[in-house]
Amino acid sequence: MAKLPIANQIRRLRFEHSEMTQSNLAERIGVTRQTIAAIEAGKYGPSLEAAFRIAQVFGVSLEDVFQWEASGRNK
Amino acid sequence: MSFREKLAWITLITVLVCFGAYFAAIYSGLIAHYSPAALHLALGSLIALIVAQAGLTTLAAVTTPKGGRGPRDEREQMIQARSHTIGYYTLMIATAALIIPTHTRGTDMVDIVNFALLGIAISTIVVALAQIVMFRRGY
Repeated sequence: MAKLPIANQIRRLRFEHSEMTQSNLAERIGVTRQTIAAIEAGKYGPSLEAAFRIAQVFGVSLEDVFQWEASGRNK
Repeated sequence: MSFREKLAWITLITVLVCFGAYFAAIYSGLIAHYSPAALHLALGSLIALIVAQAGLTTLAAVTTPKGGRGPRDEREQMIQARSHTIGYYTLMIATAALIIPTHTRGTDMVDIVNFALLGIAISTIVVALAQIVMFRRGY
């Protein structure tokens, strides 16, 4: 499956926040660990609400977590 | 593996085994399709399906961490919606295909009911397979 044109910094942010586990992050935003893993791997694009919740957990802006990767027809 | 993916595997395996045993017995000629034995096998398969699904679902719930058994999250809801859309079209095609045996000489009511049952089983398997594929690939 093609990766989404959205990069994310979730893995880095987790490690910068006391090596937060995927399970812990999942619990805090109300999704399953598998969903966090899919978002981290760029296989699933979260809803706007989930994206904001992730940013809120790390205390950063949405752009610090997710970046639009403009390339090809997705520009 | 998430709780929902386990449920999809349980559905796939139990439907394949229970309905598979029934249709294999009927279409291999082991049991006459229009006989009390066929009816008993059909009811037995249905009861076995319900018991197996209940037992395996309980086992899946027990072996899944508490946090993974909550309501479906957004990704799981999307997977459910997409898989049921695929299953709906499969069931529509299977139902429309019933026109063929209905207008075929030598087909009786029991055959038509069996074909309808087969259509339900196939669409259920398609839904479970679609869910497993989507869980595996991310969505």
